[in-house]
Amino acid sequence: MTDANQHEPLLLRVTGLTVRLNSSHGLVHAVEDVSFSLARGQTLGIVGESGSGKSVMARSLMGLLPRRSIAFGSGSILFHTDNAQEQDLAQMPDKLMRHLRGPAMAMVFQDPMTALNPVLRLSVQLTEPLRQHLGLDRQQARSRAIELLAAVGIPDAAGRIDQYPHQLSGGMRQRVVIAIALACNPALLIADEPTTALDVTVQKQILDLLARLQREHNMAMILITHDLGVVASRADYIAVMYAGRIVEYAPARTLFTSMQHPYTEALFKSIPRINDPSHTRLQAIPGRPPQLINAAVGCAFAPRCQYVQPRCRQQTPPVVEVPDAREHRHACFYPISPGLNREEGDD
Amino acid sequence: MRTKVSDQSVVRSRAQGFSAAARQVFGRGFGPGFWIAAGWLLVVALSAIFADVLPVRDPLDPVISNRLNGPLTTNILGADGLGRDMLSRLVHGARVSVVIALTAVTIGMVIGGTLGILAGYFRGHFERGLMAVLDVILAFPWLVLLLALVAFIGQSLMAISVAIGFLWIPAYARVARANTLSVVQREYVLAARAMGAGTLRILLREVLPNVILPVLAYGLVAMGLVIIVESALAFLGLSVEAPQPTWGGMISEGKRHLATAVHVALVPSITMFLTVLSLNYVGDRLRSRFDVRESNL
Amino acid sequence: MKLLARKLPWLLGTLFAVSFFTFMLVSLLPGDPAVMILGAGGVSPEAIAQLRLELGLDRPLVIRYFDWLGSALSGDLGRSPMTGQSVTDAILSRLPVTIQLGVMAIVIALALAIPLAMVSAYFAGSRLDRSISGVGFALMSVPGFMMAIFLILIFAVGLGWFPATGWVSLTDSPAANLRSALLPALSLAMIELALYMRLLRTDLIDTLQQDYITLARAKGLPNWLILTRHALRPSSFSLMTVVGLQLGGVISGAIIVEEIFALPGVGRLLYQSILQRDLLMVQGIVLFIATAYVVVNFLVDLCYSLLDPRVRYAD
Repeated sequence: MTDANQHEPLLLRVTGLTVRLNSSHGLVHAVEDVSFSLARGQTLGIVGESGSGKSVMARSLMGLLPRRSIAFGSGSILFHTDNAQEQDLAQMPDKLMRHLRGPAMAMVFQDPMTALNPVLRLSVQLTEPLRQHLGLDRQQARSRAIELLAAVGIPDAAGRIDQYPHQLSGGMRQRVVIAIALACNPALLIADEPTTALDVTVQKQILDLLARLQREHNMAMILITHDLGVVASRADYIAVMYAGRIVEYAPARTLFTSMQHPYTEALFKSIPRINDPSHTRLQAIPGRPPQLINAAVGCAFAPRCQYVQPRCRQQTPPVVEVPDAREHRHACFYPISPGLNREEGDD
Repeated sequence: MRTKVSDQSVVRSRAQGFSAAARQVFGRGFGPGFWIAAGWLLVVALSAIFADVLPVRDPLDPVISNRLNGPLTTNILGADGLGRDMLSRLVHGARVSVVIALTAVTIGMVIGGTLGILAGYFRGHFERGLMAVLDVILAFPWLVLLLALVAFIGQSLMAISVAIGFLWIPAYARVARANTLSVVQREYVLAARAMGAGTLRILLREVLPNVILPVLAYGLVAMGLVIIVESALAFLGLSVEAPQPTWGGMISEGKRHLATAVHVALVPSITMFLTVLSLNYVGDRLRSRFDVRESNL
Repeated sequence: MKLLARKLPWLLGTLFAVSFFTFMLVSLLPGDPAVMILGAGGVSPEAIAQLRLELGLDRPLVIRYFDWLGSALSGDLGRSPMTGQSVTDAILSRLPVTIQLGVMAIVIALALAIPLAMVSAYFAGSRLDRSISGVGFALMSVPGFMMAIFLILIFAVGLGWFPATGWVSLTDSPAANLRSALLPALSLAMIELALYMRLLRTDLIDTLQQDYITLARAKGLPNWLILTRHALRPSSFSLMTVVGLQLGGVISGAIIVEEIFALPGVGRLLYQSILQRDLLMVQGIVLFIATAYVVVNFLVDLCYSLLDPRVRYAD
């Protein structure tokens, strides 16, 4: 699999990533055979409902899954560090991996209310990565931390730095989390639903902040969301995840002009649109996302798919490229192709 | 790109599936440890009940020639400083431990449980008053309170049981109150209230059945603690009066012979340790089986 | 400090109730103190009546209570009719021993429990964790006096490293003092240790699943720093409460341990006074212990705010 991200040097290449977790209910097939690549400075949007394996995948990239919970893992995560060396993070022991977290890759979490340690001052939480990875002394780290707070748009950064997290609003806390992530100037930022827990008015501010910082630092970003609308204008590439698999992958523009997978279409139809006449019903996707426990046979989306065919229930559709459309892949036996008549399923 | 899940990973995931299934099946059993512990408790209980008819020697009969003889000599478990048979004293001592454990826990359970249910159901002044009184009782270290109580009501088997039972009232009242509070807010109780069921009826039919399980589940662990408390009292010579053998008293006596005859202290210590450990273990397993919340203890 | 204002009435109310309860408990004990002091046989009723008058036993109970409480507040708990010693002096002279014993026990228990709980929680479910938890579980089934006997057996009788009984005061010889205090403190510590460890392990496991721990890992911090700086403090709130509440257990244990090791502490004084039916002494000691217990737990409550900024700024 080669992607044509030729204009920028390749940063990350994930191949066949599979992660299965132990849980009290059984084996969870959280991530199944996921492959994608990402160039420096680019944004990959990963879209899917909650429970589709997005967060587990993000955490496995960072090596943050508790070792004990991993029942099975395979695949490779090739990461190009600054000196252009390629390292497989999937094989890297945690002792070495630790040194990459912060300077090479960082993460912004979903809920800023729980992501900051309630009993430590912001100064401690912000200066930790600076002192750990960049070797700054206490004073240097502190003034750098104040700069970081100012850079993420926190007013009176010098005064705020000695406060505790609960003294800040949710939006402010998320800015702090972002500042912590940016502290060591990472090449890759993974933002795991960074706005889901925030007020609607704050969401756009945070997304704009991330976009600005990404430009300024030439960071690559993996933006995880359940909202196709969020990534539509912000991502270069979009991967749609369902039941641990990437069911469709394409450059953002291509995806919206010629989506192939029924699930992508269903997600798309569930976005409210400003041009729709008022009182237009949003189309909810019928049924529930699968539980991912003990993988079922066939396409995981089949039970909810309005175009389902008998074959979908018996075989797992492989990932295939769309003919004549580079970098556009999907995993559906009966893709939606414009102009092609689709037979309706009997149920 | 083609989907290919390597055969090996399928096999591995199958194996994982099997072991998870096995864990679910066997996790439902109690395991051998549980049954060993339960068996030991049965032995202790039977010894206590049949102490008088079991083929053991007279626990009070001093045979001077056997003085401080070790186990497996003249006596199976050895003899104490007066030449009395240790096994027989253990068996008769079990009676004291078992009777006091049962009586004290029952007293604490019934009085504390009733108070806790009433406090949780009626709330208001009664609840606040009761909790304040319990706070005052809890302000006294247990042994201090116990020593004062024993001085007050004497050292008979019943008196000791009542005194130790009194110590358990606050703990049980709290468990019962916490569980009542959560039960009372459930829909079926609200429904029963709405249908005009009488207070007594609701308490007996709806609240009690839901509170009794966590209260009972706490019982075995409480009995273990009662045995420890009683033995501490006996060790200080303030439990049931001599010559009645008690485990704590035997350990206390054994302390004098530590340098010469270790078994006099060791044999009753091990017996008691195993009994308390078994009570804790069985109680713990039963409690996690019933998934009773441990909060508010 | 609104917290203090809110809780102070509760503290005073409890202390009042505790003092009343103490007084009643001891005053209602059967037996006439005057008879007990003079001895039962061959004493004239006049002599007994005379002593009752001197002791103030002829006045109503409630009046006696307020008298006693009044002088107790000014630091005078009366004078033992048996030994003639001032109760306050007797307690104060023995207090250092008990305090040293208790503090050493709690420090030893915490010093062992915290690292063990951290290891246990970090490797939760592993063989190491199960061994540590198993030993802790077994320790909870061992009464303090049994632990004391085992420690004497091993370290005093067997190895001869420490004295089996006796006490050397800290001012006489710090080294000998530590030697005499170590076994008693250790016997008290082992039971507390098991309790602390179990509690802290549960709370740590819970904390380690929090998002802010994942964030700390995402920062690339080393594990020891995550455990000590990020996980321990938020996990230690219930431990603190229990250390306070368990003070009752430590004091109870001290009574027995002081008796076993023949230490001149408050616990042994209480025990001996009960045996001699020295009611005034018992009353004073019980009041003293209960008051200390309530006050310490009150302080522990206040200390929350030092550990948890959310409480500090909530007011």
